[in-house]
Amino acid sequence: MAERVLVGMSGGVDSSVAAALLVDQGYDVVGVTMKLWGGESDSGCCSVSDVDDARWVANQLDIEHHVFNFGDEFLEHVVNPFVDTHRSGGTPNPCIECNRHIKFDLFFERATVLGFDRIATGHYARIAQLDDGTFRMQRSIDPLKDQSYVLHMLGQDVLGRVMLPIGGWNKPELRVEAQRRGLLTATKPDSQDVCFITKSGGRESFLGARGGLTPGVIITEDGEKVGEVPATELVTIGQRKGLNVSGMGEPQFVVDVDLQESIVTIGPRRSLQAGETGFTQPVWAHQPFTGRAHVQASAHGEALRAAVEHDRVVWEADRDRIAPGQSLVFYDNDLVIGGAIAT
Amino acid sequence: MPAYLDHAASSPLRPEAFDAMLPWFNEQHANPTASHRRGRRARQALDEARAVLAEATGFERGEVVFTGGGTESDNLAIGRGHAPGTIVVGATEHPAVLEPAKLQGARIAPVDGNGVVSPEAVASLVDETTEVVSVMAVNNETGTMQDVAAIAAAVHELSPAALVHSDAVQALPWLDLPLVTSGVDMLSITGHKIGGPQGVGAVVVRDGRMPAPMLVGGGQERDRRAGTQNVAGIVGFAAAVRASLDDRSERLSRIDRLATQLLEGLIDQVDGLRPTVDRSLRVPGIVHVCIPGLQSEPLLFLLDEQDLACSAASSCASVAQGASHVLDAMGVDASNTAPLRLSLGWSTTDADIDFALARIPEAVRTLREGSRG
Repeated sequence: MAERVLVGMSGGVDSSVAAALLVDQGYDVVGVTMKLWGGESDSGCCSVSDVDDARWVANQLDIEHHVFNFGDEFLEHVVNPFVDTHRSGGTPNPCIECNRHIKFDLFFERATVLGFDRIATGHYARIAQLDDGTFRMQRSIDPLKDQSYVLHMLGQDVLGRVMLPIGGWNKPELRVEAQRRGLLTATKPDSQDVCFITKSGGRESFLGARGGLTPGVIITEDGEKVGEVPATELVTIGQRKGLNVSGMGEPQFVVDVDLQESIVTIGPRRSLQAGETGFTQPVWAHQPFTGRAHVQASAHGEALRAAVEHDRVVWEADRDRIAPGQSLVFYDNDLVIGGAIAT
Repeated sequence: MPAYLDHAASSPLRPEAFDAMLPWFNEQHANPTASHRRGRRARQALDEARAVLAEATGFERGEVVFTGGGTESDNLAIGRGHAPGTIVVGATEHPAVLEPAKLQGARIAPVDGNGVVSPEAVASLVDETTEVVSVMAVNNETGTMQDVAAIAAAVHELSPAALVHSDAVQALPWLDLPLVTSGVDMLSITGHKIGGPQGVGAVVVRDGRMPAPMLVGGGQERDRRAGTQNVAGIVGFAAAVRASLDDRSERLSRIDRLATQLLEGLIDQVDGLRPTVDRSLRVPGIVHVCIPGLQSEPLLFLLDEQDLACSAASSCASVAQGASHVLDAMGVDASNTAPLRLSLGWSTTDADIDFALARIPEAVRTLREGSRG
């Protein structure tokens, strides 16, 4: 009997093709759209029309389609921590927390309880099996779309049972494939950024509506006041744009954010440089790791050579500091070793 | 073999309704306001349908206004432009009542643990400024019956000018409406909960008490609801009501027996399962239970895989399971508890019940054990 696969269908083109490929491969496929965010959105993963699109595609593929409402859990594990992390001066990555707590935890667990052998999603990444039988998250063949960074937290139990059918595709080819198959979502635009933050309102209106934002002053490293910011919580280490400070000679970057005193310190690029980055809450694909690796600090940032120690990364060459709250992901070539949260 | 236990969501079409509608889709098709003979035949069909609904509700033929369904009927009855505090509704009303009422600053009457709103609770919110009071005859999620006649009497004593409305959509298949809704000014009913077609309903309104129309245009339904009537749908609706009136006493005792068998079987086989409403307070066709230790979404998924159609009694537009305002209002702690509504109707058989009794305990076991293994 064919293996049963529960595929997460967001209503976008990637997961539509993922589901189609699984059907072609002979799996017994059921589609699920996770309803995560009930509030305002630009579409993203959560609106009713995306559910409609996913259902339409499921119908095109002749598979069943269900909706799982994880709204409460999304609020608890993704949205509230997003607000709290900002409030404590960090820069959270909600997509990572959603993958960690919702898509590859709750969804995976429910699929298991409902008797499915595997889950699948439309992420751009691959699963590799090593000679010793263990699994690793591997970068997509499309470097522009690679999502291994936001999937770095998956452990062996999940890696062994998750399928990422489009990891071997690049996006332009995938769109052509969707069109060839006549899938409704073939020309649907990619979802942008964080699904619960609207383009028009941005983080500012979202966080402002959830407890207020604190105005702050901008000072130089010498303590001279040179400007103001409307919301200290929204300022990120390394930020250059939107500070409205000019006439300072060389470009200025945020080098420190003091939320208690509402003070943002700016300085030249060299003041932003750091030789190491501390981390907390490490997770590992297989076993804890220390040693040389490539370390990536943002979704589409460059992976830089570094030594991973037990609570920090020592960079081979000084680099721009990393905002606390961002994830560090450790790679061995294109395989994920693990990851952690920058402090 | 599938089983359909979701009559409260939509009851399968009765053969009487199906047969009655067919000619109006083809050889007898006409606009009922046309002056030619085919038009007059269609108009006659509407008159006859109106007579059936009048009989079923205890109103006059001329007091029946056909609508596009229960929601439209409820919206029409609540009306628009009411000042805050002048509408009083029960806390467990259908959203088609609750939402327009809340938009206008309605007062909300609380319910007890069985979902019953007492005449006293309603009366305490009514004063001489009250314009509309709405309390449903039977709740769509739990099947709880309300003493609508007593509520109407209490309201009219305090405020004779107030209009008392009752959403009788779920009551129509089960109750003697002229008796249990005696004294109310307006009733909402719909076709597809009794084996008529979807998309057709009616609001019946005591002569001269009709709120302002929402749809204006060609003057149909005596200027109370403009738009060409859905003749085939109305004929099917009336045929289903006729059939429902004719077989009511036989059907009630049969469904009561099946529902009791279902509930007792479930209590027997599923640890911790409890009925949400006392038997004496609900209609026979709606069996609502709470099952501790699991969630309704995966339960419905497994039951759907077995082709057992039922519901958790509440769904939003995206068909995701949401929290129930009805259970909230009743003070039911629904955390880590799966509410399940099994609703029976005219086509329910012993085989449906046997199927449910085989599949539901099995699905609960699967979820409680955490794996189907």
